[in-house]
Amino acid sequence: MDNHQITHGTFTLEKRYPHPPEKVFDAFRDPVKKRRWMGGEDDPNSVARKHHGEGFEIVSFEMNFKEDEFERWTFRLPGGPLMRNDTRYHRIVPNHSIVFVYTMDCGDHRMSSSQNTVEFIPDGQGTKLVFTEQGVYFDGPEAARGRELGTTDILVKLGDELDRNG
Amino acid sequence: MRTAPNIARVFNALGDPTRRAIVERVSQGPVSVSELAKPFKITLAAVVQHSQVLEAGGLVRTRKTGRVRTCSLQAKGFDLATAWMMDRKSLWNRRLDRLGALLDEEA
Repeated sequence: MDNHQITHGTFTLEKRYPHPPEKVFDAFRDPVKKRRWMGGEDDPNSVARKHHGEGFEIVSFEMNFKEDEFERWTFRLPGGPLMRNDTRYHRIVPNHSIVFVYTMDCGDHRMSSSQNTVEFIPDGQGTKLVFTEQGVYFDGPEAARGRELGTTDILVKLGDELDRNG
Repeated sequence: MRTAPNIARVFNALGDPTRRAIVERVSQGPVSVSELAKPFKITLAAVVQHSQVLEAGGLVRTRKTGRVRTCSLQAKGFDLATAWMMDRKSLWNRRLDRLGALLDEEA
């Protein structure tokens, strides 16, 4: 059995915020704000809590928001292996876009390597944020977990992703 | 022995437009392989080949009763293939919702 699987995938998220691009961008630049929304330690509805009943505890967080500089998070579920998220900023255009790459590790297992783009598009008085991840996903503990999903919907979405990708 | 579907096989299976069309057709209900071949204007042998790739990905199941081979949908492959990407997507989705809440608080 192949234990080194590679899967390519792309997804896009769009969010509208009733705040100007300068303000939304600032929440990516300011480490205090970034820690609050990205870390989500106190979020009762975080994905970690949904899956595991407990939230991630942030062990360390450092960031240097400049092109070619780095951001590193280490975090864990209580009693779980140390997880790591390493980011490198490739291109930063203030109030316009951020391009970065990141890897996600669980213990000594590399889970994924991704290229990401965040676009801040003026939208009336607010901002349309478009987040795109182009990822390479390696087989990991999550992959084995079964999910209940509406197959037809998912197929259409997957087909779209693959079309965009191919 | 049947090999367990893995993510690479599932994506390989869904990477072809004819195979996606086959899955969409099968998602409406089980159908015989010869019936499947009709709308696609491809040979029966080609459909059999496509359905084998889909079966290896855990997306469909085929069963032979007498001389008729029937193709039906199987959910297993979808779960595996989407688990990874959907996990990451929901993680970022939740983060960006928190960003919105933070911005509203500040305003």
